[in-house]
This record gives sequence, C-alpha cells and structure tokens, in this order.
Amino acid sequence: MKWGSYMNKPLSIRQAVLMYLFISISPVLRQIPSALAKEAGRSGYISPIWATFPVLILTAIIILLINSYPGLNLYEITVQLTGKVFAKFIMIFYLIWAILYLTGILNAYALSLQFTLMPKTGSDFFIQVMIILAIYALYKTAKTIFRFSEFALGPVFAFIGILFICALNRLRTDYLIPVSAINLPNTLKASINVTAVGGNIFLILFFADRFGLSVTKKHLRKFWTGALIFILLNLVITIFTYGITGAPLTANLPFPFYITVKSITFFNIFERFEVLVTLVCILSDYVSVCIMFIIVLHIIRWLFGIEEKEFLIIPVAMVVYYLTFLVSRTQFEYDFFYKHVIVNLNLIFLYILPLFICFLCLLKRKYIRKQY
Amino acid sequence: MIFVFGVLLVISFMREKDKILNKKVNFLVFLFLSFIGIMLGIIHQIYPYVPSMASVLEKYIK
Repeated sequence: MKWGSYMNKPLSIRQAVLMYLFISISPVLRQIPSALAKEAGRSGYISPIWATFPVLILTAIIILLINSYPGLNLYEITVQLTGKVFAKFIMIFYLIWAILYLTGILNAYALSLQFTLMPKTGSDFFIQVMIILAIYALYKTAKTIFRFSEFALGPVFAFIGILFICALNRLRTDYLIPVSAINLPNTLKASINVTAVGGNIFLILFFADRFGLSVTKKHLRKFWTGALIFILLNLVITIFTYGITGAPLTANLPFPFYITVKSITFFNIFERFEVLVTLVCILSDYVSVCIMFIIVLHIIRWLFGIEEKEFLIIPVAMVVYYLTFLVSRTQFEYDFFYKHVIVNLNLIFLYILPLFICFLCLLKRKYIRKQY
Repeated sequence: MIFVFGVLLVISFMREKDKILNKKVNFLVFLFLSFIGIMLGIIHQIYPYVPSMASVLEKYIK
C-alpha cells in the first residue's frame, strides 16, 4: 500500500487511544508529581487510585456517545442533542478553553526546556520553533500526528520501564510508607490533578467522525485499556519520583522527575538519562500542541461552517503565539495558571460538560432512531 | 516575529486565494483572525512586558 493512500485511511480507535496516552506523558512527568506532593505530601502517590473512578466514568461516557452516535464527532453529537444554536454556543466555550490550554502547553514546554537544557535561551525562541514545527505538521494530514504518537509511544514506554528497573534499588521505602489515614482526604483532593490530565481522553471525541460506522465492542475496549494504562503510568511515575527524591523536595521542584532521573545509572555504567526525559516531554508536547491546534481549527470550522482549514493555520498560529506571552511568562506564573485555571477548566470542559451531554443522550436515547 | 508572521499571512493568502475568496465567510474569518493576530503582535511589540493574565489573576485571587 502506498504511504499517501495509507495516510488518508480513517483513524482507528487504537491510534486515538495511543495519542491520548502520548499527550498525557508530559503532564504526568512534569506537573503531576509536584502537584500531588504539594497538596497531599508523602501520601500523594495514592491519589492516582482515586482518579481511576472519574477517568473510568468519563471513558464510559465516551463509549456511550460513540455507541449512540456512531460516525459523529463531538459537535455533531451536540447538534443532535441540543440543536445547532446551543451546540455552537458550547463550542465557543470549548474554543476559548482549547486556546488557553494550547498556550499553557506551549509555556510548559518552553519553561521545561529552559529549566533542563538551555537556561540562557529565551522562551520565545522555543515557542517559535514549536509553532513552526506544528504549522508544518498541520499542512500534512492529522493522521501524520496520530501515526507519530503510535510509533513513538512504544519506545517511550520501554524507556520508562528501563528507568524504573534501574531505579528499583534506589527506591527508599521510608519515603513512601507509612501512609497516615489522616492524609487520605488530602489525597482525594489532590487527585483532581490526575483527573484533569486523564480527561484528555475526551479529546478523542473531536475526531470520532473519522472512526467510521463499524465500531465494534472490541474496538471500544481499547478506551478502557487506555484509561487503565494512564492510571498505571501515573502510579509508577509518582512512586518512582517520591521513592527517590522524597515528597518535600518533589513539592518544591518545577520538574521533579527530571531531577529523579539524574540520580539513576544503568548498572553504574550509563548515566545522564535526564536528557532523554526532556526529549520525551518535548515529543509529547509537540503532539499535544498539534492535537490542540487541530481541535481549535475544527471548532472554528464548525462555528463558521467552513469546509477547508488550510488557510486558517497561519492566522491561528499567530494568535496562539502572541497569546502565549499574554497568558503567562515565568515558571511561577505558569504554576499558578496551571493550578488555578487549567486544572479547573479541564474539569469543567472534560468532565462536567461531557456529563451534561451524556445526561441529554440518556434522556433522548429511546428517541434516537436506528438510522445507522 | 510580527514581520515573519506578516509575510506568512501574505504567502498563505496567495497560496489559498481561491479557497479564501471562494466564500465570503472564509474571507471574513481569515481577515478577523489575521486582524486579532496582528493586533496582539503590535501589543507585544509596543509593550513586551505587559502584565500577563496569570499575574493579574494572582493579584485578585491572593
């Protein structure tokens, strides 16, 4: 099969789930360990377990929506459930959220590069490079980005696995246990950080029209697998970071996993794996930026009934680039913005609104005619 | 960077001229987004250290 014709094939659920896992890697490595340590202290590594419930409920919502409206994307489903005017109204809010989220990802990427590898380089340079790469990817098909995450996820998981094996003898159990029952409410509260990132699985619904009509139960099972792998990844990374760096230090570092990996060697022969951690984060951020960019373009297309998206790429890139500087600049500002704005907006747009849509779907389900 | 984006906008317009001018809405959306982008670019050029949204929010929340 020729490469060109392969890229034009519909998207598979497997690719979408792998994309979800790939874009989740960078917040899981960068933000979640320190956020959990700040809010729940030493018991923070229990929080991913609590986050399992909302993430699985969201997965069930996605499966219900795809089952009820096969071949339709989020906008089309919302139009079916609420009507065109209300659907567009919801999409305006999704557009604002997507742009803010995108600027947040760009800031996080630039700041982590500054923190890890190039402290003297200005963040605007990193953002410019990312925007140029994203523009290049956007002129190709969206399938390119999904394929990229599909290819890259395996080696990334293998790398994390090797790191975990190398780190096993350095894990300090006194950093992890005992966990006091008094801290459990804090772990529950801190789990919103994991939940907010886990909600990214809902982004798949923006591309659900590309799955086609023949979605079987076997295909849908991949959503559950993806959600469970996400929780497992969170648990492993948090235990890993807490067990080596300790919760107090984790709470005060902008990128604790990077510092943790600094102390790991492969049988006392190879070291300096932290550069690879930065690389993994950059790749994950790149895919996240491209996916959020595509979502922004999709929403603009849906709002104005535009068929092509190519001519929107440069103007949207320009708006996003300058907005990134207006949203946050320094690490402190970004941490504040992430904690107070992005996490809460993610909970609203990735959990509360989908719950509302699911509620409408359940109400109207018996009226949905078997039209597919 | 505003000049680079300006050139890219012109190139994009020339390349996608048919699609942009095909429908009025395409042209208006392109114009609207370009206008917002250019305005944000000018603000960034004139006031490069304008207080960010995060710092403004921080003042009100704390």
